[in-house]
Amino acid sequence: MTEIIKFDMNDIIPGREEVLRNQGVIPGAVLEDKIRDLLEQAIREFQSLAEPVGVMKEVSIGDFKDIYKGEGRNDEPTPVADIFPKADCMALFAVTLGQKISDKIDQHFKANNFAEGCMLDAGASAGADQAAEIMQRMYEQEIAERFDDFDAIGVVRYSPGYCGWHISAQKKLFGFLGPEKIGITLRETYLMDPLKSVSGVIIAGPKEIHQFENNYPCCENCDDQTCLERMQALKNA
Amino acid sequence: MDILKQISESLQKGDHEKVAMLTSQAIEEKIPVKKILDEGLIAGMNVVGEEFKHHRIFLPSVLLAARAMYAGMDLIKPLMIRDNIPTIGKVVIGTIKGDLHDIGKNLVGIMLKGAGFEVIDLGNDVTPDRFVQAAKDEKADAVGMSALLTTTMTGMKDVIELMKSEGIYGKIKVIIGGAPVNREFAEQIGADSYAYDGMKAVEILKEYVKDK
Ligand code: B12
Repeated sequence: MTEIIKFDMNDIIPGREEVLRNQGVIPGAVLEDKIRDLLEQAIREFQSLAEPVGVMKEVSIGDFKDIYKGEGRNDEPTPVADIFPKADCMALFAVTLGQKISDKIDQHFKANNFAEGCMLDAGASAGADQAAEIMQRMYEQEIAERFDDFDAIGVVRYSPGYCGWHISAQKKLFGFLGPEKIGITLRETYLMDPLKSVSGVIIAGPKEIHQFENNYPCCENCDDQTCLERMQALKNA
Repeated sequence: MDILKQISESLQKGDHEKVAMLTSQAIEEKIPVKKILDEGLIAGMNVVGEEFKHHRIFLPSVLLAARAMYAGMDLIKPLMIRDNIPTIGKVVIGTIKGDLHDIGKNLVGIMLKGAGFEVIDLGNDVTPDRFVQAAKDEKADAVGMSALLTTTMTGMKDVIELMKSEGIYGKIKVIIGGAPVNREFAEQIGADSYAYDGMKAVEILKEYVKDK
């Protein structure tokens, strides 16, 4: 079944530290008052302009195999290819903050209010990620009762465009999920419109399946530490 | 304090209203426009750039200073045109066709303007035709292209191919950037350079126009 999800704004307001970090501000740095004011203004604009909405649909391992394969452009091997066959269940998802927030960012830049524009952009990126995080938690809650020992289950999301899963897989993901229902369209270049959108698959299975060594071909030129942090968090949970 | 120094210092503080007021005053006092630009506005931005490079200030402060610079520039630009005062160089920038992400490109444009370049910003979703036409019409020194995804960055090669067939490749430099782009990719498609960020782009492009 396809579920359309409206978010509670309070759940997706981006963390202030993260908004600053997205702009290269070192955590704990002493900030001038005017930077703090910019941050608060961006949070207020986020609250009034973001129109967060998501869509989620469970998918079988068999169906996902084809979606994952996409246009046949994935690396071999990849973490996701090794993980999903061992899953207990999974769901495709897409979330967006809508177009208004991107239009506002644009307006700020056009009016030479660069700092305002950049602060809101960083906030919207963090907010889109946060909405994806909330989707994951919702799925987690939804499936919890299916398991006798849910503590042993890890629920983690993965997105096309990351870790050797080629972004062209977006096409089949869209075909199955239909994010057009919530206003997200896919361009020929596989870019989602509106820009502040995130898609992927949420995979639930024994915690160990999500642990991998970062020696895949895609890891070679990647300095993103997010996967390592996520694996550590899962171990600690 | 010397008015140009005051312009530079107000700019560093990101006080755009004061920069506009002082720039008007400097114009009224008949200080040569080029001097206001070089010793007031650009001098201030140079300090900001150095502070940023050494992590003593962060991006939001740089952007407030940039707005102040633009406030001054808006006042002297008509006079520069009237007196035929050239900028240090002209750069056409844009985000490649099929791509909507333009924050990175915007930041690069701001840094370039702050360093004294004239920037023609074509926006996002820019076709090869528009890049090449603008580069020719504007007699640009360089074309700067930006992309967010590995699937959109391939469009950069199309622009370079069109530049070749229009006979401007090699005459107008090509600089590229964006999250998925790197130096190897730049070499592969025949771009003159790749820049990790706006500061680096300024450095590279200044070198290109040095002997103009
Ligand atoms: C924030 C972010 C997002 C945000 C919003 C995107 C946005 N920017 O608005 C959200 C969370 C919504 C998002 C979503 C997605 N993202 Co994303 N995202 C990022 C991230 C972390 C930062 C991008 C950013 O905004 N940076 C800030 C700006 C200011 O930096 P910048 O654009 O890079 O510009 C600087 C330089 O690159 C350079 N520069 C830029 N342009 C130019 C031009 C010239 C001429 C020069 C000289 C220099 C230059 O100077 C700029 C200033 O310093 C990058 C990873 C990264 N570390 O870069 C991934 C990244 C871009 N995302 C990626 C992916 C895959 C996605 C998704 C497809 C994931 C998914 N399936 O949902 C979606 C796609 C969204 C869409 N609409 O289609 C991949 C793209 C790689 C690929 N495979 O194509 C990246 C590279 C992460 C990765 N895998 O390593 N993303």
